[in-house]
Order: sequence, then structure tokens, then C-alpha cells
Amino acid sequence: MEKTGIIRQFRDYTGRVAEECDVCVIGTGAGGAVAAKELAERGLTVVVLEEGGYFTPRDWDGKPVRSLTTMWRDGGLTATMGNPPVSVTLGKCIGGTTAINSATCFRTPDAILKKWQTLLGLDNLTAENLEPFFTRVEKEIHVTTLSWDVLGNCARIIKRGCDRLGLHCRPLRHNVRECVGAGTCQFGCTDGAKQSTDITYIPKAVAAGARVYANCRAEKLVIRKGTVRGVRAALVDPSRGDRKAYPMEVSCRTVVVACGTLITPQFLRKSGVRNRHIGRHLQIHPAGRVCAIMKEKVEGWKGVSQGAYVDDYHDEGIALEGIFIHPSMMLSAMPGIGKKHKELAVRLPYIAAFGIMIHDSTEGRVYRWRPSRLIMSKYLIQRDDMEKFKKALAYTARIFFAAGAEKVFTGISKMPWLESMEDAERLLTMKVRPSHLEILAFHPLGTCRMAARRDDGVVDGSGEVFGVKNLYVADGSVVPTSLGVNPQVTIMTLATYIAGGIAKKFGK
Amino acid sequence: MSAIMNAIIPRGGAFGPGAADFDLLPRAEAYIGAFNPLVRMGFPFLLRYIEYGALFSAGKRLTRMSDEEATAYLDTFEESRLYYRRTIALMLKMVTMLAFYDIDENAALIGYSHLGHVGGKKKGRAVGRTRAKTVKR
Repeated sequence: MEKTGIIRQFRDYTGRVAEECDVCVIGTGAGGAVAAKELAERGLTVVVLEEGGYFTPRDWDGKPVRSLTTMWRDGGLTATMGNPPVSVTLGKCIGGTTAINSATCFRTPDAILKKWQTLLGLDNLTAENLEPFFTRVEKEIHVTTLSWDVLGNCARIIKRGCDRLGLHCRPLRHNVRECVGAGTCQFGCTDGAKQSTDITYIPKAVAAGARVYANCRAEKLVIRKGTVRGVRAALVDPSRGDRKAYPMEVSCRTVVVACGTLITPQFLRKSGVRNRHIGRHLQIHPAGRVCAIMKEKVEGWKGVSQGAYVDDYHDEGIALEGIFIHPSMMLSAMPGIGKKHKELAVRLPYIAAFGIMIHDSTEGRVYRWRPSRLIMSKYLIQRDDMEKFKKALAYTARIFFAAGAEKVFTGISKMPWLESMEDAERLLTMKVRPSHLEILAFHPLGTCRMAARRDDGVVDGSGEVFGVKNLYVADGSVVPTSLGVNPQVTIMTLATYIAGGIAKKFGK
Repeated sequence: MSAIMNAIIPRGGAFGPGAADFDLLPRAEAYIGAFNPLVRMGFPFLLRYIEYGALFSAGKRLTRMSDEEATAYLDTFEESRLYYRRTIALMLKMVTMLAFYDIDENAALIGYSHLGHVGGKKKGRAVGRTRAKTVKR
């Protein structure tokens, strides 16, 4: 029997669609795309639903406006409620957040895997058991270490500062092929060098027969007698604010939900899944950035956006990782309106930037689905995480001053500009409140966490939802705790593992 | 919105052109159009809050102010001790600067060259484009 793999999008739809398959996968990010490809290649019929649109590198210009309006959820304005509110980056397109991330790759730290075994009984998730899955993922997305000549001047400046302070700055590993350091990772890689899931897993899933529906929003699971039977969805018109145009129904034997940490819990609840852990344990790796005005020309946009990292403060729960983005976004976050803004803006070629990321212990929450499809979540940063955040800013400022910076901007409203190393030292002991901070987040995790027992989590060690047969979750929401490192490879590895288990159940 | 954009990036200063020299509203509207519908609905109320709030603090509506007066008024948002006022300033700056620096000529005024350093290397490779395939079983 012939099977045709294809990607459809709104312009292809003419009316109601009904599909039948072995597995329906919802989402095409780090979890969904991986599950779709792994299952399709094992001979299962797979239908994939993706709420966002379908784009290729030819559709991108690498600038924020087009990308924010087409590839990012809600124009990049998704935020948690709290003090302060935290802006969370979410992708909404084929590729999900992998299409707009910084392509940074880390395996799950061994200490975290041990923590999952101890706290949640996940004895299956050992470094040894996961090794073949990590290797498979890293080969698939071509994880590699780039040379310093494409990492950009921000990385070189931080290395210089680190060398003077006896710290260690190393190149990050990235999922890229033939990267020339265009620096537009967050707004679409114009060269197609970033090996996001729309470039890697989705084409392979389609080649293996998967049928992918873009502009298709899953609305509810069909669950009867404790078993999932299908999905009800809506084909949406992106030119009319994703308004429903036609209905779609998928009848299937298994569903893999991979809508992302902030949406999966709402979707499960709306579908009638009950578990007290759904939506809880939200962890986000609070992040920030430090900008420095240097005496030398930096031109930070030339090179990989997130090139290098410093992990000397790992034991304090602090990671420092590069970040340099388009000036429109970077300058808007720096102080200055009117002529003061212009005076700073013309110094752009002399501005360097580096980011911070906290391994958080704070746990937030995602609330029930609301009609507006507004994501309702709360994250109240706790005192110890706030202290880590402040220290991370101070450490980065120190490194910049050691590298020769004239002035450093931290984003702390109480003391935005630092003029000297002494200011950076003073920041370490300064009293800071959460409302003084500007916090961003790129790695929401944990809201449908994996655990050995139903009392401790939403899905079991195979990714199946407790209490609902053949319903699986395979995205960042199953990652049980904050990782302290970028989670892309962890999510893909878990998705590979989960898909392997599903295929075994089908006898494949 | 025009008055706000003109205040955030006025004419003159470190470089000549300002927001008033370009038709930025379509770009700004395209970006605002991507917001969640609830947030999008609230945006006009935000603009009214800024417009009429100026009556209390500066004695006249924002749209009746000169660029310098409007800049000084918006400065009070950015320097406020209240987090929500600082967030308002950040959002307005982002909408304005996304629109203004999206234009290559404007970005060049501050020394930024979009993709200039990679030249014509491998632009727009045909990767990721998937055609319908027939898979025989």
C-alpha cells in the first residue's frame, strides 16, 4: 500500500478534514518532531498537528519584525504573572521553539539524572541507559563545536576577561551545519545552518510517510473509557488571527502531546485529564543579560548569537552564556528615550553583551485554559533564586570590567549602570527586590513531570499519562526538574526514548 | 502612537532622521497584530492612559506636547519606581525600535549592517522544503 508524506498548510485546506492513523502527534518542536520521525520511520502511520505556520529559510529575512509576527507565539509577549512578570520565549511554527532558539546543546547533567532517580524513582533514566539516545539525537541534529572565528567578538571579550580573572570561557556546542555566524538564530537562520526540527526531523518524518498539518490547532482529546481514541482540532486561518476555519478530526490508537510546557497542561485539563500535578512544578531557568560599552569596536552581531559560556559558577546554580540580538530589541531594553537613546544607539558597534541563566528552585504554575487562549501562568521568584540572579549579573559585570569595559548595564532598575569593578563588587551585597529585575525565560519545564508513581507526577517513566491509556506526553513539560543547562537535547532524548517505547507497544 | 514614536526616536541628535521621517505605523501595526487578542484589545486603552495621563503630570495631552516635552514625559515611565510603568516604557520602545530599525538604512545610521558580514554566502539554501513523497509499503 502506498503512503504519501506531505506537509499541508492553510492555503491547502478547502473544508473539513478527517484523518485516521496509528499515532497522532501534536506539536513539531523538540519533542513532537522527534516522536513523529521516530515513529514514522518504524512503519507507523503518523499524523502531526501544528498550530503555527510552515516556513523555510527562504521565508526569513533574519530580522525581528517578520519573525516575531510569524514564528513566535503572541509576538514574543508570552509572560508569566508574578513579581516581576517574566517574558517567556515560545515558538509557534513548524519546528516550534527549536526554530527560534540559540541552537545551544547540552546533555542532561549526570547529577540531574541521579536526582530524578532519587526523588521520583526514575531508575530507567540513567546516563548509561540514555547514552544511545543522546548519541542518536546529537547525530541527527549535528551537534558540533564551532571554531572561535565564528563565535563573535562578545565571546572573545568575555574570554579575555575570564583569562584575567582565572575563569574559564569555552565555546558552546551547537546543532548547526556549515554555520557562518550570521547571528540571526532567534529570528530564523537565513542559511538553514541551524539544524532545528523543521530542517531535520520533520522532513525525515514526512519522507517516512508522516502527514503534517500546519495551521492546525488541537482543541481536545477524545478519551473514552480511560483510553485515548483521537483528537478534535481546528484548521485555522493565520490571516484572521488564527480563527477557526474548518474542523478536523483524527481517529488514532495513540496520541503524543508535545504542545510545550505552558500549553500541554492546559490542553490535558481541557480534555478532562485529572492529576494534581498537571500545571505545577513550572521551572524556567530565569535569564538576563548584561551589556558593556567597550573602548574597542565589538560589532557583536557578527558571529554566532550565543557563542560561548562560563561554568565556573555552576555549583552556585549560575551559568553565563553569550547572547547578542538585533539592535532593535537590544537597544529597547537599554535605558534612554529620545536623544539619550540616540546617543547610546550610535555606540552600538562598541556594545558587547552576555547572558546569565539560573538553575532555579522556584516552582511556578500553569492554570486552566481560558477562552482567549491567553497562557495563564504564575512564577514568583524566590529569594535564593533572586540572589543567584543578582550575583550572576555582578559576576558578568566583573568579567566585562576585567576585559576593559568602560561601563556596564545590568538591567537592575535600582542601579542600572555600573562604572567600575568596585560597583560590580558592591552589587554583590546590595539589597535587591524582585521588582528591580528584568527577567526573561527560554526554557520552561516540568508542568507534566515524569515520575515512577502517580502520586509524584503526570506521566510514568515511559511517558504515558497516568490513568489514560495510549496517551503520551513528550515535550519540556515531562522534564521533571530544572536542568541548569539548555534543555533542547534533553527534550529530544526523552522524546526519542518515549517514541521507542510506543513503537515497541505496536510491535515495531 | 505616532506621537509616542516621535518622542522615542525624535529628529536630530546623534543622527538626523527620526521616527517622523518614516511611515512606521504599518510595521508597528503588523507587530501589534501578532499579540494575543486580549492584549491587542487592551493596547488602545494603554495609549489613552498615556495620552490623558500626561494631563495630570504635565498639564497637557501627549499629542499636544512638543517632542522634547513628550520625551521628558515618557522618561518618567522609564525611570519610575513602579514596575508596570517601566514595563509600559519597555513595550513602547520595543514597538518603536522594531519598526524603526527594521529599515536597513536606519540600522546603518547606528553602524549595524544586517547580514553584511556574511555577504552572499549560502543565502537561502533550499533546505527544509519538503515535497510530497510517495512511500511504498
